[in-house]
Amino acid sequence: MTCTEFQQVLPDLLEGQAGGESTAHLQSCHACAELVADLRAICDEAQHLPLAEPSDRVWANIQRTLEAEGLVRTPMQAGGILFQPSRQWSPFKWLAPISAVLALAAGVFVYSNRRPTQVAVNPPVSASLPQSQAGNSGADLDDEQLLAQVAPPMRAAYADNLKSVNSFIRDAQQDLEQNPDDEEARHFLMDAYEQKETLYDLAMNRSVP
Amino acid sequence: MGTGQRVGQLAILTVVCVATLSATDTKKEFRYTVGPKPAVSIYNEYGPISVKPAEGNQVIVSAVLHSDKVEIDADQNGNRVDLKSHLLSGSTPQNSQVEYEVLVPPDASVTVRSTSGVLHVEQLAADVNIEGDSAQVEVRDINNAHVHIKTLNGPVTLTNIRYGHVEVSSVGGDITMQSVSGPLVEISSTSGRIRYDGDFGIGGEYKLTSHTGDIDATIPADASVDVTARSVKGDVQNDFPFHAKTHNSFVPVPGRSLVGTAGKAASSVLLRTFSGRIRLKKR
Repeated sequence: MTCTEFQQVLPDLLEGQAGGESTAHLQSCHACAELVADLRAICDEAQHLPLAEPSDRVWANIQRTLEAEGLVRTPMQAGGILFQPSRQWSPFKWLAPISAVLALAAGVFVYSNRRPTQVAVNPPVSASLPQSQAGNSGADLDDEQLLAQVAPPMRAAYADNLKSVNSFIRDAQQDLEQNPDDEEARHFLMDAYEQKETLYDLAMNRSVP
Repeated sequence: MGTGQRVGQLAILTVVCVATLSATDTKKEFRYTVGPKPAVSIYNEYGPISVKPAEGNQVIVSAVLHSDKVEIDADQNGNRVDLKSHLLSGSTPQNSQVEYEVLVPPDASVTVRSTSGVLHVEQLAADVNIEGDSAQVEVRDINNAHVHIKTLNGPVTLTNIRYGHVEVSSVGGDITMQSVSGPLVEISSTSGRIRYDGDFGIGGEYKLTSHTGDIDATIPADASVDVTARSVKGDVQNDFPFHAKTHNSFVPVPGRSLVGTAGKAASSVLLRTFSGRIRLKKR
């Protein structure tokens, strides 16, 4: 039996239904033995996780939303079609707690390893943003993301010029609103946006390695 | 201690200092044989780049590296030559400076980019693309070519550009033009000042736009132009004897806008700012 073939019967092995061939492979292959040991450890830990059943109200809300969007049909029983707890055994049942544990572990790993580095290399961009730009609009968020990519020595210059360009756009917009039939006012607004495009181009080209 | 002795000691100290500083410098030279109309690009993180023409079919690059925290990646693919300053671990804007002096065939199209330093390109008859953050850009003596420049707040100076397709966009840098003519000249800045001194050519389109920066245009008495100048909140000043136009797309407001022609009105000139001042002067 090869390792690939072994991995195909791995769920059966974890459910205690292993055949002689897979048991023999497990005894001869160190890598597969380690994998099985790890998975069993995760399964054991997962059994201690608290199980919380969502309330009926949650299921009902989800069902109403899906019905409204036409994704499901009218429920056929009181509990709704979503709330039909299956008592049938599934060979992949064990995957759910393992996935949850692995995802949790990966999240903790990534968070604990990346967070200090990010803080050290890139201080919070909003701190370097002018007050007027620290808003929540899409454009402001784009600006914040852009500034985050700019090298720290140039960030203040970019933030200042970004502020000027946004002011240019605001003024040109107001000018066009006051003179909606003025073709030049329309071009003026386009010029303002082109200035912002220039700034974005420069910043993006700088950030490309 | 006599004055002569002091001067002597100072001279020795200066020599020692210069020798110590230059001891960390490394000079490198690259030579590439190219065909007609080659493309040359130089991407420098920090430091000046100078591009000048040379006879023959070679691209010759002299580079001075100021530390071992930066190296140069040089590559030739067919008729294209690429040079790039490659920052290494521990580099800073100070120690990763590289000074490039590049000689190219006059028909080479050139792309130059740097954050700082002077970016200088002259005497070429092919397209020039320049990008600089705070870099000072100088372009002179370019004929029959596209000249495209973008800077964040670096000043731009164009001198003697003839029959050009010129597009300059600087967010905060001043833009100065001396004897620049189209067919197309589009200059825009948000807060930088725009200055034009020339005759606006014959038959071109010129568009100078700013948000808060002033726009000054100095033109000769025999210029042939159709001028529209508008400042939304600033002043428009003029001492050029334009002829009034009878048919306009808008109603000129005295002191805020101006519409007029001179000569045969061969070139179209549009000057527009939001709150800057526009000044038209006769040379």
